Amino acid sequence: MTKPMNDPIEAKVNKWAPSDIGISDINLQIRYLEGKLFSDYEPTKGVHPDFLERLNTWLENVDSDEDKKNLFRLVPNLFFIGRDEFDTLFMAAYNGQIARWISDQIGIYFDEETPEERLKAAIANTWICPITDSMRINGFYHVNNIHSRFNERPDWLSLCKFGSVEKIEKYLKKKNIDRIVLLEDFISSGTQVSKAIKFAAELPCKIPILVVPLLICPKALESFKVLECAYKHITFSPVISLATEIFILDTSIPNEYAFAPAIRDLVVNSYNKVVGSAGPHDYEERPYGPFGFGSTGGLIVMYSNCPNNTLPIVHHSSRYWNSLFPRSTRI
Amino acid sequence: MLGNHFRPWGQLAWIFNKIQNKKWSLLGCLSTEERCLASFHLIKAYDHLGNLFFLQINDPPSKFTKITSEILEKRRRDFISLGGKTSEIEEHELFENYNKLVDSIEQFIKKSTGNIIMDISSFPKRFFFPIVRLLMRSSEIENLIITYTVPEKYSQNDLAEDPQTWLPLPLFGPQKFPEPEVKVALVGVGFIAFGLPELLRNEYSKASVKLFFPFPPGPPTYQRTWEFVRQIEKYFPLQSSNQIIRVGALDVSTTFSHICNETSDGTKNAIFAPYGPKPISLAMCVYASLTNSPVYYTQPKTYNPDYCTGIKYINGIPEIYGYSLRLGGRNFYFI
Amino acid sequence: MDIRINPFHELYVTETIGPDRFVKLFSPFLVEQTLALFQPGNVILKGVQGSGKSMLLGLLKPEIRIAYAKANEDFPIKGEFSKFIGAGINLTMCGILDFGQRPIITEKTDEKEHLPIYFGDFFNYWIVADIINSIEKLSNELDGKIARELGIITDKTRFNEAAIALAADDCWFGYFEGIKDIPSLKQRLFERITSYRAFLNYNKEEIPSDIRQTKTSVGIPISITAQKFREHGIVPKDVNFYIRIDQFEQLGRLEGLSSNLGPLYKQVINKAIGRRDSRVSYRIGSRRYGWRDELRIYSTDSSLEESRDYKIIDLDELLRRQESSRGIFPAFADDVFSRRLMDFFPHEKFPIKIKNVFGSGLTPSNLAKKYAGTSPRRIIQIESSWPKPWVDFLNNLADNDPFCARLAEAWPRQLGKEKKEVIFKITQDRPFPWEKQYWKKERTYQALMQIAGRCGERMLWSGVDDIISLSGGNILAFISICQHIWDAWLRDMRGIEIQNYKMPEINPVTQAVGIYEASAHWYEKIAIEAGGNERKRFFEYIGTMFHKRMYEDSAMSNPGHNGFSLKESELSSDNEVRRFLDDAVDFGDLHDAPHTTKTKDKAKRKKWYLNPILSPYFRIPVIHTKEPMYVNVQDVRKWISDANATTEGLPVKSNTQSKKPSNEKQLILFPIKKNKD
Repeated sequence: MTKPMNDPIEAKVNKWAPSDIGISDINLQIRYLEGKLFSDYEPTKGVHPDFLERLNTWLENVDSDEDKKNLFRLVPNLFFIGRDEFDTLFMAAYNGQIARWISDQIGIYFDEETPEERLKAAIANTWICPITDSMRINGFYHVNNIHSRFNERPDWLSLCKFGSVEKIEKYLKKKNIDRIVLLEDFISSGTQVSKAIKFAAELPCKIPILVVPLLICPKALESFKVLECAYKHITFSPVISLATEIFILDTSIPNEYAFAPAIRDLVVNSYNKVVGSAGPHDYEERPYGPFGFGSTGGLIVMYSNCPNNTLPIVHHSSRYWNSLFPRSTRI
Repeated sequence: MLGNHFRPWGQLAWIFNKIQNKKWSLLGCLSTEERCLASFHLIKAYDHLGNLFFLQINDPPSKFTKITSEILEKRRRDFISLGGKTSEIEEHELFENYNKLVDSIEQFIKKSTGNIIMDISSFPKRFFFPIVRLLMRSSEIENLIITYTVPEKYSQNDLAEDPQTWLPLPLFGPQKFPEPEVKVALVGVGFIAFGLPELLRNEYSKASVKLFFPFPPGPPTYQRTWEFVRQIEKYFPLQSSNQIIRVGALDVSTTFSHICNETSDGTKNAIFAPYGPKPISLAMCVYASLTNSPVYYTQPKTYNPDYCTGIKYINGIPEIYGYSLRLGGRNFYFI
Repeated sequence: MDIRINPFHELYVTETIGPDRFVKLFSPFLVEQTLALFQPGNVILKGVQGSGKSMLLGLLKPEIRIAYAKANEDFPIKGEFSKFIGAGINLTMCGILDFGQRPIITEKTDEKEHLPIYFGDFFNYWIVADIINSIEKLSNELDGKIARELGIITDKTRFNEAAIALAADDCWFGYFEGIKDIPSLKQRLFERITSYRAFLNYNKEEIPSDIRQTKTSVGIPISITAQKFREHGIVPKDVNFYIRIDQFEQLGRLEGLSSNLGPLYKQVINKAIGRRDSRVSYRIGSRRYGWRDELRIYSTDSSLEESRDYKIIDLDELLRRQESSRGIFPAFADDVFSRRLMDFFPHEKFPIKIKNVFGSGLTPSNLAKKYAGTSPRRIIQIESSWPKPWVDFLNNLADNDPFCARLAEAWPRQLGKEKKEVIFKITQDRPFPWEKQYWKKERTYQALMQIAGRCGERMLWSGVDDIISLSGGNILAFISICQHIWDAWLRDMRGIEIQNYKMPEINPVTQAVGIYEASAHWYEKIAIEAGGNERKRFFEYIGTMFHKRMYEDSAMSNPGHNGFSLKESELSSDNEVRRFLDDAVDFGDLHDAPHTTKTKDKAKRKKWYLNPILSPYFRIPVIHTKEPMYVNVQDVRKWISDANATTEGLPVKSNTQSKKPSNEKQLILFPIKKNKD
């Protein structure tokens, strides 16, 4: 009489649709975003199931239709930051945060004769570096068409571990560097990058430093305010400060997403499965608890990788759990 | 600001610290939105206020009329408590003949200090576009800054209703005849796409269509913006990914640079459809004013009084951005 | 052609999709039905968006003719009907509606005396420029092939002579004095329009005096142009001039036009039409009711008259299903469908029928079985008073034939002793009483709707008949349905190899998914039109009401209550409700038709149904059967008010109706515009 549908996701949506009027449109949204964004996820570019296959196996992680639907509804609300988005953030940082800071540093007035000449001269003496090696610093230079005279653009986390203060100061002097800009693509709690920032801040020359996270989570913002107070020559100026309301926290907060309570329950109830064991869990170990590292509860996925403070249901794989955007971790 | 084009913009307070002290004539729009008085507040706090001129734009009667009137009354009281006078408010109708607006603005320019700040935050596009054009072409204005205040949040309900058909915005109709072939259609991406596919399909489907996708901000606006693009593509599929140009929602300068790039610095004829964030629309307005390019819009008849609420703050400071179009007689936006 | 591209991706067929595509996709099916469009005489082409109006009017544009010639395809208009030159104006895009935004006369005179004349003058110059443009295009493209076919001769000498003769005519009041050739004539034309535009955009202080003093009378210069081109042999006498006026109905809708100007400008155009000038003919595309708002002729006491001054072609009427026949739409849809798929399946025999891909759909009996699944007895609602043998009978019947069981369950609930007795006198012989041809036929869709609802299932729409019914005679709706079904099919075939060149037979379940998505899309898109938010709220209200009534009607006494009927006399006494409903029809969201009443008073009535494509969204049957809901105008008023579909809420009128509203509140559905002057 009639054949069932071939595609398992279509079959699921068709089953849910009679009692859930919006679910068809969510399906269309997901398909659309798959074509525009999700298929660009780098860790799955090799031999890997494609996004829609991963989506189906992800939905199959849970048994009840209600839970499947909750996972399904979550997908369009993930904040996927693609390559193009990062390029835009690079430009925004350069022409916004960095430009204004340098203007303040050199004390230009906009109605003076040629403020742009002074600005150009100042940028030539500004050393723009990444904080960690995940920040695509070359991309930043290319997109902004910066003709820099600095061949060296070390990541400062490595510098703080292996670098010599003396050598660094010598370099700064030799190259006539008046100020440093430290960029980072994504800062979740700030624990890791703080080491690098403190190292830079404690250079004897007390060179002015601007720290520009392209994306920053609320917890990190708080900790950086403390750093700003401690070190007067450091300024923090993020491009996007993510609002608390877009995270799924372990307790409810005002203005959180409407689906947050359902997801909260789901992540807690499924954590055993996610980690692949039923025993007690050490939240100091990956994936750091049902809400991810620092209990952040993030919904962020970058095209290059999924941060560890995104909900583990999204990125963690185990023998009982298939991830949607598998995270590429350092061993 | 770095790179090839110096176009200073940033928080208004920051801009004030970078220019000589002046007395400014403020042109604003009294509306249901709290943010409509934010610039007034700040300029007064800096003791930079010269004279004031606020327009109150009345929508045609709708189901919102009663509540809108109540909120407007309250806003008037706020205006007066800030030091404004009732005589400094002039009422206009959303769909009035635009000669009334032109006359009012010309009078305002004559009475101004020669330094004008126009706050576009709460102006309907049908008004802010012609006003900016008139201000830009006046040689009596030595300093011109446009301000925009970021609201705390937008309503999740329909922001506006009852769109009119496609029409050029006042003072932005096609000028040349015969009309040269349009090579580029530049569209701002917002939350609601009233009639946009109709325009692109009917009149300009031979043109290369580019959408300005506001990014930053991030979520939840980000997801809503993708929804807008998805709705457009239902009727008007995009051919390639480079038809979407991401640009900061507040970044007038970079938007203007993109427009210049897409039009090969004015050599390709363009039309504009300014949906989406007002700063992006402002860049379109500035470019269109310089090149006499047509700008089309489906003006809604009715605005939700909860269109947006509150004012966004960063580190305790209201997010009021200033875009310097002209300082000391020097124009920063040109082709 | 890659089958993974959706053949229905381009919803609209206009010249802007490219000549190749237009020529391939355009269906000439409607041409034969609308030949009056290609004959002399003024024509008003009525139809909602998607009726094919723009497609047909597009054939009048020179670009389309050129497209056919470039593609080496025959132009769909043949013989004498093809002998025309088209020109036109789009009222919203050209700038003409800006007249009135800025005072033209500095002295204290009534602008309204002058504005219509400026409007008419701009109109004239624009059209004349476009006529010349069309002639040049037809002469220059493809080495003049089309011009030769039409007998157009534009050698330089002749053309310049015609230009001089045209320029010398009195109708211009000397504006073209000194013109020696076509280029200078054109230049002067362009200058005038540019001057107007510059003034209206505040790029010029005033309209130059040589323009102010040479304003022309609407329509006359256009006719003179046609005449002079004929007299000088540029255009043969048997070639007609057809002038398109686009966006005409915006004159009655735009808020930006002050309250009197819109009707005045309409009257100006009516004047051109009312001249009944054999030298040119006008073509206006309009929605159903948008045309008749204003028929007066400017500065006269007369009005336009149908048949005398213009003909009407009503595409909606032509294409929609009539009471007695399916109309021409199924064949039209088949033709459109076939053209879309030909590129994808070049080995298939033309024409490709809709049925080849979508099948015939499921029979009611099979549909009911599908809904009922493995628990068919849930489709029956048992009354506690029913005797056990009857209940057993129903349950057994449900196990084997749930559709029949539902009908059986409804039968004794109906009025009539004979029907009620069946629960005691159970017959085993078929046909059962409830299987009487008309009784069953009238209730089939309601029964299926109820069965689906009772089983928690969505109705399964599929097959050619459903698709044609849901399209409601609208070709855009049809293509949209096909587009969504094809998309659903492509999604469902992900990861499965699709054989290129093999035409699919799409699973009914997949069709249903696509149809629901199409229906939801059409529902959402109501709001993007003027007044759409209010209409959407109204449809949400009545759609939900229809569903509820039909679903809860266990006796299936009213299978036709997916529509409503009003007396014409009541409707004409309530302008606000009438206008609301007319607008809804104009935008295609409601379909209306005369209603032959069964009531004794035989009063003239009219009936309305939701746009058929909304039926899946609201879970109501699409067919119109038996009687719609009989309501009065106060009921509709209340619906509008309860749905919050008005400017401020519409009070229910008291029983003592007055023709004129007695207080201001009753006007607020369509508030009176303030006189801005």
